[in-house]
Amino acid sequence: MNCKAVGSLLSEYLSDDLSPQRARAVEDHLKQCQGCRNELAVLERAAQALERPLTVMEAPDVLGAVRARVQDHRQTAFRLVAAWGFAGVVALMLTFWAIAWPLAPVSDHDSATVTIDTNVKNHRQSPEPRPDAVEDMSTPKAPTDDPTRSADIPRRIGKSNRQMQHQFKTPAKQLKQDSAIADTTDQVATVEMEQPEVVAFCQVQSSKPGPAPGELRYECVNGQGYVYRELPPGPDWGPQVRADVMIVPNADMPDPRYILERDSLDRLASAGYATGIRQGAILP
Amino acid sequence: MNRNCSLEIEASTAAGRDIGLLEMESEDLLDFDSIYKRWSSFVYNACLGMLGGPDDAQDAMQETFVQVYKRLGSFRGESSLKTWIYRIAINKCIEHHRRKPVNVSVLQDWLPEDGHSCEDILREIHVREAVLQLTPRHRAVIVLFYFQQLSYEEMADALGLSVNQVRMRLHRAKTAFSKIFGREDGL
Repeated sequence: MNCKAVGSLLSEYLSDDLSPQRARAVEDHLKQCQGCRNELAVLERAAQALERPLTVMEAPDVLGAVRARVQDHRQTAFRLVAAWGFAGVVALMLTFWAIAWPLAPVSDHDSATVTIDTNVKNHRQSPEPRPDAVEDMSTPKAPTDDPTRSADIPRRIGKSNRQMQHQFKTPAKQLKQDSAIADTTDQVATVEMEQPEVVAFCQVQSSKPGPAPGELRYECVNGQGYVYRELPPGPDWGPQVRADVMIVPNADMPDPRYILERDSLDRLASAGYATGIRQGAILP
Repeated sequence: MNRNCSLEIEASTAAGRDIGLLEMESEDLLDFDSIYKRWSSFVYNACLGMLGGPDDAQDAMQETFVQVYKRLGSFRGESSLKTWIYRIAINKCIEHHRRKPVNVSVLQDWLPEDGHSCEDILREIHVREAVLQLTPRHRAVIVLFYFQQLSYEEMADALGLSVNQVRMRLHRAKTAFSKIFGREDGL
């Protein structure tokens, strides 16, 4: 047994906690090792120092302080419970509102906006805008309110009136969930709708200045009609085109994805009236 | 605070060891005031051994009894009240030690001189200083065994260890203490 092993056993040896065999081995080592004997002496003296009783100090009276802290803790706990209770009530109210709000009747003024970048370069300006087609860009009007619609625009083709009515009742909040993907090439602008069941009628308008409108704004008017018309350019603006575009999913494009070709847009821009765009084609 | 009291503490002192026995009726509650009166001195002196300074010991003692009060209702008597309180006290001292490391020099200011020889006072300061330089785990076993006179079984209960673990830890603590004590004592 070496000094390190004996050193770790000296305390147990001193307390008679070692087995007889180990105690004998420690004693054998101690007989021939002065260093370990010194270490044992130190340990013995330290143990004696610990064994002697220490001064017992009188405890201060903290009972009042303990009571005060417990009382304070109770008040804090009460405040916490009250705060959490209030937060819970508010959360419940918000949850109820979040559930009930989509079920509320939808106003005719609700609308959803989709923005598309088309980079149309060869936009042809219409020779003469129709006076009744001039509208304020910032306040799109419901197409049914447009007096030109009933006279000049034929009804949609390919879809039953039932489906159209379904579209008219689609809340704008639902349309807002649709996403638009802008194809920056000159050829196409792509609108992607995540909800195939949504039949949307969108209003298209260009809003960037210059001869080549770079941005078409699809403003989905909730429900009423679809009139494509051209607006005269403003003082600082290039040709501005505004149209209602019908976006309808069909069997050919079940994803659904609707493409507005540049030519179609140009034709729309040059036309006085149109019934809308369906899969990139101008409806008669 | 006015709890029905049915606390019977049979305390006896044998060979310097205070053995508190708690007998509780199953339906009765403990009275906090009685517990405080019975154990405050033990807790304070244990905290003093663990932390050194009287202010720190008082803080730890106060935190201990706040905890005792809060948890008294959930005390089921599976361990003795004594070891339960000591366990809380040791944990509070260790928490306190983490926040504020022990300052050994505080010992010089508070040890009583009346009725004690200069040699006794110096020896006690020497012992306490050496204990304060131990790790909190080693310090706890030294304080409980030598200062508070707990048995191995009580220490095991208070520290959540087995008796063998307590014995081994105590030996290691004594070895560490002797190195510090011998170094400072010039042995």
